[in-house]
Amino acid sequence: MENYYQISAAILICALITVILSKGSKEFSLLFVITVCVVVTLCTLNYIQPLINFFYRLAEAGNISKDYLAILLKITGMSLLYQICGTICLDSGNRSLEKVLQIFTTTSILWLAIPLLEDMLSLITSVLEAV
Amino acid sequence: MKRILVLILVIYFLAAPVNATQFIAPEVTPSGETYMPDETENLGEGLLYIVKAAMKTLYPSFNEALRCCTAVVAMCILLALLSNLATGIHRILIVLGIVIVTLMLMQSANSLILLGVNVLGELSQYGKLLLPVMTAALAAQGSVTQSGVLYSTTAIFNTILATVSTSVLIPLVYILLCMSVVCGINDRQLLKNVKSSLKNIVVWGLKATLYIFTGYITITGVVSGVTDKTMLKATKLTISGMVPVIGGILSDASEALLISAGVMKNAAGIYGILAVIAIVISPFLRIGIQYLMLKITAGFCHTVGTEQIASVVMDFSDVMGIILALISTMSIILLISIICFMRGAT
Repeated sequence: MENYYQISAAILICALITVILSKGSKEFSLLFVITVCVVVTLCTLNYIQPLINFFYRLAEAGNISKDYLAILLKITGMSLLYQICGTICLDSGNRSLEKVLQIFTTTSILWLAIPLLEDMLSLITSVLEAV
Repeated sequence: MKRILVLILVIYFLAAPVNATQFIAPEVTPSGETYMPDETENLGEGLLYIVKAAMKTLYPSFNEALRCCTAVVAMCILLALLSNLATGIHRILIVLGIVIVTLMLMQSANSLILLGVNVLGELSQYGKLLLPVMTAALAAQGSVTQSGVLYSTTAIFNTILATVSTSVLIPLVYILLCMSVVCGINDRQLLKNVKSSLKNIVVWGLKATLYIFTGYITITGVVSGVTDKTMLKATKLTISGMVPVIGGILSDASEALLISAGVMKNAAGIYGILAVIAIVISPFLRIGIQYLMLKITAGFCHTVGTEQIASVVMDFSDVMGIILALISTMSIILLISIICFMRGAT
């Protein structure tokens, strides 16, 4: 985490620049914000990879199915992306876009969870058949 | 000479045929054979042998339960970490976590429930084979009324409990598990009340069965025991009084016969007790270990902060407790009746 303080400081400076830019051109300001967000997210990826590796090790130690873990990680990733994109939408004043993104994220999460829910359904069916 | 021949013929035709009767307890079921001692005369030694044999199988059961619970704990840690990472989808993650934990626990829970059902069936079948032997032995000892009452009471309770367990209680247990998952996902008080009511129905039903059986067997045992003792005393007095010269000898001989029948009855009883324990001990330990491990896991899930998952794990543990209670009730009914048969006319 040696560059955490540098990135935090850079983000504060970017916030200041955004305020100055927004007085001249709101479009440039938004573009600048998106660029900063993408760069910081790419920097975060370096730290996410060891975390994901740890989750896989934890799942292996606990004998948890890797498919289930992959679903959970994808859902978490989608949620993080939604938080970033949704906040940008809200900052730019596009509430409807944020809402659409929320609906799309929720639907995608449910779509991803279908294999899990199907497993659950087949388990319930097999138990009911056994009873 | 002619008179002597006629006398011999009359004696020959009047003599009643006599057969030696043996009262041997039926062989233990194949699942209990592993734990059954070779020498079954001494109850204490037999019990020690069974416990030692069962302890050998304890480690694999513990290992299996530990693996299952480790997976649940790992899942809880994972969910707690992911929930902190993505705060917006905490609820969805918990719901999916409950689904995954249920899928992980259901496999072992289902196999243990089926094991419990098999044990109940084996106990019922063994009881049906053992009780007639004990009844005949007790009747041979002079307690005709008591043996009949004991047999009918135990057979009725045995059959009722076995039938109700497989056709009502086991489906109720599965419904309880489904309700537990639903309660974990949907935190409604009404659902929780229905779930706890279902649990109480099963537990109170089992308790009531045991209380009624013990009460009924105590009352009828005392009444019929007194009747049999009076009848036995009257018969002995009649034999010694009515038959001239050899009446006393006949009375003493009948006493020796009754004692011999008692010895055989006790031997069959001890074998029966050991057989019932041998059938029950391994499944009891397996389910018991799973029950305890799930309780510990639920406690750990609470500390990690995944209360809904902890509640689901606790319900799985309660279900294991219900299966334990079912097996215990069935075996206690059999053991009490065997002991009553052994006490019999003494």
